[in-house]
Amino acid sequence: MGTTHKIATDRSPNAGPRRLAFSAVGARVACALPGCESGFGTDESEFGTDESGFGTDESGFGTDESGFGTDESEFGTDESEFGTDESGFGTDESEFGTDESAFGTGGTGGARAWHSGKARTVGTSAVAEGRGAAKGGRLSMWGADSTIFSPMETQPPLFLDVPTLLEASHPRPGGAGRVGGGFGYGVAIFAVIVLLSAYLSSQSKAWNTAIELLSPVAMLAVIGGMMFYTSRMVRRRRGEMKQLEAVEELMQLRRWSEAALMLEGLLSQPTKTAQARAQGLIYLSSVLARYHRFTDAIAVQQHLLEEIQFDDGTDFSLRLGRAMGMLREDHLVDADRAMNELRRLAGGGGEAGEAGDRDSAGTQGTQGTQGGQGGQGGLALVELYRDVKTGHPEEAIVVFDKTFEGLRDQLGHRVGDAYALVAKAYDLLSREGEARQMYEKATLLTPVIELERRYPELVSLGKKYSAAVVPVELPVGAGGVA
Amino acid sequence: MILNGLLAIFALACLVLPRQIWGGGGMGGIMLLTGVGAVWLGLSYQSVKGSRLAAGSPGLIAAGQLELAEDRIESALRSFSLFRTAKLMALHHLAMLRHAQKRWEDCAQLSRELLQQRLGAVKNLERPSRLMLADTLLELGDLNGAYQAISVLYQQRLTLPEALNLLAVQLDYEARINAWERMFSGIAVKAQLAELLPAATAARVEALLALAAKKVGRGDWSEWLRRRVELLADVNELTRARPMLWELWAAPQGAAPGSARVAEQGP
Repeated sequence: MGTTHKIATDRSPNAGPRRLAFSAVGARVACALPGCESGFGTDESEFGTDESGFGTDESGFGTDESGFGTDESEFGTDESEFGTDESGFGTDESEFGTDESAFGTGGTGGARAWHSGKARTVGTSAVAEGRGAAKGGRLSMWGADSTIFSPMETQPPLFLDVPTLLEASHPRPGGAGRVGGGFGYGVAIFAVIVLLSAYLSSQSKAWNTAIELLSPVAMLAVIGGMMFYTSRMVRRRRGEMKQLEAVEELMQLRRWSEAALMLEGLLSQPTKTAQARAQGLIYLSSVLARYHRFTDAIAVQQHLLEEIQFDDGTDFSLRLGRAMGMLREDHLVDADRAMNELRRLAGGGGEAGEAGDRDSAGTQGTQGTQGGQGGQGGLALVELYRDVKTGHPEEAIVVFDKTFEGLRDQLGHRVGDAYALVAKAYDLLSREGEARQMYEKATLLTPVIELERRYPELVSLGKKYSAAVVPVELPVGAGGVA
Repeated sequence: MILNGLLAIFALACLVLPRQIWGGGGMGGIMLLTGVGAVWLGLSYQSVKGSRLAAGSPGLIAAGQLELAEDRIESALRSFSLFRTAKLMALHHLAMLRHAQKRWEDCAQLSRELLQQRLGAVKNLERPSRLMLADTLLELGDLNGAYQAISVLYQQRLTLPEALNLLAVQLDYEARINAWERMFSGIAVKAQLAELLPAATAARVEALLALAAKKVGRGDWSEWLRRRVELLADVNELTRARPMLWELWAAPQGAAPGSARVAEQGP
C-alpha cells in the first residue's frame, strides 16, 4: 500500500503561484512557478507522483531491519540531517533527499522558489545550484538567457506556511467528510421516505399497494447506503489516523523532512476530525521548531492553546515547547512569563528545584498538577537553558543539582541536554574540570551535532572539550576501535 | 453478537412481513421497525458509554493511577454492550493493568484468552497482546512460551512502538539463553532504537547490550553502554530487577572481594 503525496495538485494555469507535486522517492519538490506549464511541471511522472512513497504504508516499520532503518542515515546522525542552518528548509541539502535544490530558498530578493533537481536536466544554463533561486527579485534558476520562464512577480507561499495550514486544516463543519454529517443525511432521507410513503398511502389504494411493495426495498436501500457511507467515512478517518501515526514515527526516527511533507499534505486540506487536526498541528509545531522556525512554531502552539481544550499533560507540553521557542527567539520577557505560568500549572509556584525535590521524594503525581511525565523535567530543562542563556550559571547549576533525578527519570536520553547545559554553566564559571566531565557525559547520550543544533550556545564547548567517542561496530572478534 | 443478529432478523421481518402481522396495514411494519431502531439506538448508546469508560484506562495505567483504571475497566466489563469488540478491548486493558501491577499469572492468562478469541475489528490488539504475553512469560521464566510468542511476531508487520517493545523483550529473552553474539549483532542500531524507549526500559536494554558486548569481548561497546546506563537509571534498581546485570558492575579480576565498582549515582 502506498500513498501519493501531492502538495496542491491543481494543474490549471490559473491556479496561482503554488502548484507543487511531491515525490517521496528522492524527496523532490517540483517547481511551482507561474508559467512553468510550458517548460516542465505538467508531467506528473517528471515530478514524481510515485505511488511507492512513504505515508500510511503499513510496511514502514516492520520487523525487518530495513523497516526502521539499519543505516545510520535513517537516524540522522550525519551532519546534513542536523545541519545548523537557521533558515529552515533551504540549505540543508541532503535533508531533503539527494536533490540539492530541493526546498531551495532564494532569500536575497525576497522571492523564493522551490525547484526540482530535474531542472538541471531541463534547464539551459543550470544556474540553479541548489541554494536559492532568486537574486534581486528575479529568478536566476534558468539563467539570464532563458526566455522560457518569466520573472517571478508573486511570492509563492512558504513550505509549511503556518497561516495557510491553520486555515485550510479546519474540518468542514457537518460536511460530507464527517461521519456525523453522513449520519445526519441518512436520518433526513429516512424521515423523508417515511413521511412521503405515509402521505402517498393515504391517497389511494393503488399507492398503498405500491408503497407496501416498495417500502421494504427502499428501507433496505437506505440502511445499506448509510452503512456503506459510514464505513467509507470510518475508513477515511482511519487512513488519516494512520497518516498521523506515520508522522509520529517519522519524527521519532528523526526523518524530519518526510514528516514535514506528510504534515503539509495532511494539513493543507480539511481534516476529517478536529482531533486529527489538533494532533497534526502539535506535530507541525515540533517540526517547525526542529527547523528553527520558532516564530512559526510559537504561532501554532499559541493557536492550539487558545482554540482547543487539551488534557493537562498535552497543555503543559505545548506550553513547554512554546517557552523553549521563546527562549530560542530571545523573547526573554515572554519566556519568563510563560515559565511562571508553567510553574503555577505544575502546582509548585516555586522554581523547578522544588519540584525536583518532590520528585526525588517520590511524591510526584499527576493528579492535581499538570505536566505528567516529563513535565517537571521539561520545566527544569527550560529553566536551565534560560539561566545559561541569560548568563546565570550559578543558578543553572543549582537547578541541575536539585532536579537531577527528575530530569533523569523523566527525560530519558534527553537528560543529555541538561548535562550539556550544565557543562556550559561550569564553563562560564571557568570551572573547566567539571565542564569537561559534564560535556563528556552529555555527549555520551547525545551526539554533539544534535546538541549544538538544539542549543547554539554550546558550539564553543565543542572546541574546548572532547566529546565521548562512540565505538565502531565491527564483526564480533574483530576487536574494538574506540 | 446473538442480540445483534436477533435485532437484524426482527428488523427484516418488520419490512418483509408487515401484511401478515398487521393484516394489510401499510405503516405497521415501518412503525415496528422504528421501534426496533429505537431499542437498537438505546442499547448502542449504553454500549458506547461502556466503551468510553474503558478507553481512558491506558492513560490512567501509564500515569500510575491503577486503582482508578481498575474501577473503570471493571465497570466496562460489567456493563452491557452490543459490541463484542468493546469487551475485547476492556479485556486487553485489564491485561495491561495486571502487567503494570506485576501480576504476571493473571496477565498471561488474560493475554492468552484474548489471543484465542476471534478479534475481527480489533485485530490490531493481537500484536500488543502477544508482546505483553512474551514479556510476562519471561517474567514467569517460561522461555519456551516466550519464544513462541516472539516468533509469531516476526511474521507480522509492527509499528515503531511495537518494534521497540519487541527489541526489549527479545534482548531479555536472548540474554536468558546466553545468545550473546546474536544480541551484539547490529548493536549500533539497537542502541539507537533504545534511545526511543522510556528511560527505565532504555536503560535495561542498553545494560543488556553492554553485557552482550562484554561477553563477546567488545570492551569498548560494553564500557560505552555501561556509562550511558549509569546516566539513565539507578543501577541498584536496575540490577535488582535483572540480577544478571550485576556482572557489568562487578569488581574487575584481581580486585579485593566485595569491592564491586560503585556506579555513578549523582550528577
